Amino acid sequence: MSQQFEEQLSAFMDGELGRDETRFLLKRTANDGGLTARWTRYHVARQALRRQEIVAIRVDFASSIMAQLDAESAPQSARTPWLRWGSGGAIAAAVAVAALMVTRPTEQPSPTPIAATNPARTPQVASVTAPTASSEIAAANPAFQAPLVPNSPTQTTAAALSTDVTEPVGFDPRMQSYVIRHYQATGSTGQPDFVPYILLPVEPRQGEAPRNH
Amino acid sequence: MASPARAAALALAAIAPLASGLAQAADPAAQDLLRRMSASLRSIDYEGSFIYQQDGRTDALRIFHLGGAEERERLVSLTGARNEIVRNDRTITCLQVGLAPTQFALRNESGLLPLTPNVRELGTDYTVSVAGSDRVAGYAASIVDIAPRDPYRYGYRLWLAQDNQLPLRSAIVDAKRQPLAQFMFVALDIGTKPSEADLAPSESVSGAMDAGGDSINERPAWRVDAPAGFRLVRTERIAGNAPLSEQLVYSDGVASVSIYVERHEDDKKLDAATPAAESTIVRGALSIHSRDTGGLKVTALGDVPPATVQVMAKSVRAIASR
Repeated sequence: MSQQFEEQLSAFMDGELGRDETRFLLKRTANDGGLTARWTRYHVARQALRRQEIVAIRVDFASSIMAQLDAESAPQSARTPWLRWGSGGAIAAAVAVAALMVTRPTEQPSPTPIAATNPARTPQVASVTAPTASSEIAAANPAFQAPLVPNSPTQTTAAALSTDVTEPVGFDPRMQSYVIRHYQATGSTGQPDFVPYILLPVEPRQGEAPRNH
Repeated sequence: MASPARAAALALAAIAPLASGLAQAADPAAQDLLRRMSASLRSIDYEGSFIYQQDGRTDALRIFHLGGAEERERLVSLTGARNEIVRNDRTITCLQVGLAPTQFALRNESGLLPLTPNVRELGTDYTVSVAGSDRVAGYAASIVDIAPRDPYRYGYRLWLAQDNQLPLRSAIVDAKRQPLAQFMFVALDIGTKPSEADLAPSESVSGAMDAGGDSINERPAWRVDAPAGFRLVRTERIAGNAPLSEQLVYSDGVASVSIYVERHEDDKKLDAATPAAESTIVRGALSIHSRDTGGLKVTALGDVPPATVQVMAKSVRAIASR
């Protein structure tokens, strides 16, 4: 990829690419899988860094944007605001249609967001000051010598048999993206990596009815 | 300087797990069962329903698996919003209600059945032993324990079908052998070849992008002191306006930890004198430790005990200024 296209791509993602240049870039993108993939990766990385919801880009994203450009009758300035990523404007609605596996962005994290919303699912805050490794060893060691106890579903930590997915509690978007990136990366070490995605708390959308299998 | 009591505790901590591990290390029966489990996970046809418990939440899922050279799988959630994951020999497709399908290129042999550790890379950090027998989903099962030798990783307890060693139930357990997350089949048909309809996505998939990064395994900018057995397996530079932001992945072959290092956007200066703000969150088997100090934000997370992510997050330091 030439430096010119790199610069155009960057300008486009910043919403600073002119209308004609945008058309040219999108045409080039439609015929260049490498450029598409590069843009997708930039997009995911930026969203992670900006603490936004991670979304994936559809293969046909370029045609979607082109269609929207065609439909736009009013002339746009070179710095048309709706082309700015992260603004939540029309570009997000047009392009980010393939949301990836995660919840919608939650409110900005507060010191006790989860406890305030659902005490039953408050995560354990182990400590503010981390214990030393040696103290952990000393504390944990006797348990290794303890006789095995039978495991059963009723012995899980505070496991409730009733599902509480109607009151999901998700991580903030940044942490959510960290968790997803982690499971994606660790899949290469042999562990199942996509199962945790499906089990991440997902905020149900309004008017959404569950479908039968 | 350590007190005598603490020194004794440290000595005991160092010796006791090792002694226990050596006593259990030579358990060829358990090792053989695990080897057969790995093969069964790939080769056997089955379909069944299982429950998955983690962090006080219970989900029910149904899985269809076609074994063999062109292995295929489909996992469908039966509770809550309908989620679905379809895997073939080339791609993994995620479908969620209200969201467009997302497809990824398959980069590894990971299956969709949860909590099945990669026993092919069980090193000296774990010991294995046969812990008895049980009955799960109507099948006679052998119980196999995978126990860590130190408190920096979790163990597993696996219930393997006695006929073919397919995992019928699995739990990731803490140092007290209490399950942090587990799955258990409640109904299972082994040897039943799933139909094409069972293996195909429930809606059309027009294709999507692999959102993986392209700056993988570059020379890391940050160094982490990891517990023994963990090694750096992946480095990913996070593109954008923070050139030193990185994800470092450490693994012992079974457990993995990601370290994310970011500089504050509004404070590029690293000030070691600034007191660190730290927090640790534990959700089921997942531990997350965040450390924010001097313009640097470090987040370590993984399916490991809290002490592991705490130690690793605290040890992050720059290799060299760039």
